[in-house]
Amino acid sequence: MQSIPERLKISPFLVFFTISSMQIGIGILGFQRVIAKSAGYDAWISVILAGIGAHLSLAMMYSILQKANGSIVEANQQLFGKWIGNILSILLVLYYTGMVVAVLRTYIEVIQVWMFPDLETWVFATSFMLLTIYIVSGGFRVVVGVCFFSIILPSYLILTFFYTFEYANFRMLLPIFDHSIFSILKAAKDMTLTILGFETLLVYYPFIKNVEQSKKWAHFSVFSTTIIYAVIAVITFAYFSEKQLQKHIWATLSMWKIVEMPFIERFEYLGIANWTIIILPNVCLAAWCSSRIVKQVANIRQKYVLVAIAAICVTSACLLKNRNSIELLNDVLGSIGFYFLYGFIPLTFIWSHILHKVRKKA
Amino acid sequence: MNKWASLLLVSFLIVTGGCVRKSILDDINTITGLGYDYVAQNKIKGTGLVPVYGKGKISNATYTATSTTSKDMIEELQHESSNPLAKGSLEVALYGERLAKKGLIEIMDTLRRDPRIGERVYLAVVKGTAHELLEGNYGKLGNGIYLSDLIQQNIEQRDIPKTNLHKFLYDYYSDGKDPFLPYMERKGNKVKILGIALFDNDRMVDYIRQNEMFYFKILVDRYTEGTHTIRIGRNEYAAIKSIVTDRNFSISGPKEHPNITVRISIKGVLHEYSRGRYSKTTKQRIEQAFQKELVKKSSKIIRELQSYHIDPIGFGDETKSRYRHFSYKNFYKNYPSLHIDVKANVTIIDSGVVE
Repeated sequence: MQSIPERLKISPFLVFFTISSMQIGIGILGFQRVIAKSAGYDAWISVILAGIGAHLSLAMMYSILQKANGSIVEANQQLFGKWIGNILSILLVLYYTGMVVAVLRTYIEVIQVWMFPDLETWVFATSFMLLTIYIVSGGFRVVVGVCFFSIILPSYLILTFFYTFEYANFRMLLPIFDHSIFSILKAAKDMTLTILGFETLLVYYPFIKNVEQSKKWAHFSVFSTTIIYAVIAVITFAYFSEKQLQKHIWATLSMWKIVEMPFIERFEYLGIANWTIIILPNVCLAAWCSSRIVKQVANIRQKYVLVAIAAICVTSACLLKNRNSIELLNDVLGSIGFYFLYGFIPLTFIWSHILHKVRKKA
Repeated sequence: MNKWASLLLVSFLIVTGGCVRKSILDDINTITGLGYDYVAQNKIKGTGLVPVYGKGKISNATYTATSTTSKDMIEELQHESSNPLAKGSLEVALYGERLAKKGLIEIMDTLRRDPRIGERVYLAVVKGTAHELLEGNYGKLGNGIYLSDLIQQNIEQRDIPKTNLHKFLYDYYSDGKDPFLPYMERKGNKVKILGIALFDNDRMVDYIRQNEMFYFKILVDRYTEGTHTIRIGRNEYAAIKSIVTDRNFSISGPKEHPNITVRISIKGVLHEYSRGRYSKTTKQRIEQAFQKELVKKSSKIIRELQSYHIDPIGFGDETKSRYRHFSYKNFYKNYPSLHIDVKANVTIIDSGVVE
């Protein structure tokens, strides 16, 4: 295993940005409807439960990686042997690539529905992937830079949601716990796609300078995104009546329709355009992760892998033609993510724990 | 990345940047108002209002088309227009009374589905036909702005409760609340607000008369800046301004058949008092007369709403938020016979600059 030179590593506090910029993406545009379907207006509790789940999963990832002293590729090889380990890593490549496609295609759909109905999918997908190739070939530190700005620059958007307060009725959140614990847990599961993204840590872990310190930042990051999600969920529930919310595919965007400023009559156009900056690190970091894994497993130059992945992403994005197929992809990715975070990670964690103890004794 | 690759990237972005349709402001007609009227079963007449910008003044042009309810009216209107119609700056949508009585939600579908239409669009029901109202010429800024200003001004300072497309849909989709809209009429070169149209689901059933709008607004919304004149005795009137109101509900008893008390509190400044000296006792007299009138009129409105089996005030939602496993169905079965009490508390803070 070659170690990463110090100059290519990132400061521990930047982990805050890599994690939350990855988490906040397309899910936040419309998660409210999905979670309210099963848990009604108690669903904000599910957001918090999903956040707690993410914290646990994150802690286990750190433990696995620390014991392996490397990325998930090394961890897989150490824990499951070379062959099975590499197969698992390749599955991860598919997962991260799927994530790129889902993010890209969903965002293009939003643009097509809200702004330019005659925008061709391939045009945007190609331009965006070219940009991604450009950024990712700059190296991991450049990708982290993009993550940093994707949190800082659009952060003002959170203020725009206060425009809805004029029409908010927070009473409808009462009574709390009117739904069964089962349906609240189900909504927490449905939350997975939205909260997903921090598992990219598995790949860029070796690039973090001071791991012990970064833990604090990573957990703080997951905590902040959970709070943002919970706040947006509460604001949405107060703004829409329950059946009305079910009509809105992108509730967050629909809320922007009420924002009116002296210089701009309709805010959602500004918001959607701004969202490009939020989508960018999602695509870049995921593309970086998948190409990085291939590089480690198969020893191919990352540049070539990256171009291949970009081509695959553009093609598959164009193949997804309508709402149903996009939703299907998001659902599939959400459930894979769910079993990955709460199935694969805990099992690997236990296995690595046992193996570590055994090897220590031997 | 080398020079050629970046050049390729930039030129690709520039070329593809022109791939979507442009809308140049001079080459489109912006619809500021839409009107819908009932013609026959499954047939509606649509009127589109477009401002025409002339030298120093804005005149109005209207387009009309008849189509079946399900079809997109704006597409039909397009047949009459020389430039493409843009609906992004729609201000008001008006519905003729006959149509409103048949139900609006099907026709409203285009308004809520189209991402280009804002949620702040005002909706209103017109006595007579919407077409006739839109044909008029009001104000200097064009009919669309005139109508939206008329409604907005009445919401902010007068007796119309907060209303727009979002609010209407919120109430419509809410199980424990029914929508309402302003009700207006053309009077020559002016438009007059007649009252508040009340809806059962999406069908208009009746309207709140102009002299009761003040009390209706207190019940469904709140005042931040109202004025009101009350009669205290013979030839004795008091005008109160800067009225700030608040209402809250206390609900007790079983959830299927609760006892509801509406507590209204009002603060205001005495603006005009028609007779004699203003003293502590007159202050009390005005307050008490106001309270009495409030209780009387509000109770009457509530009883009327109960008899129509509609709930624009949202008693259903208020009750739901106070009970677990609440059933709207059982609640509304008993709704007409519910005991709903009104209590009012009026405080006059100031009496102007004179004593």
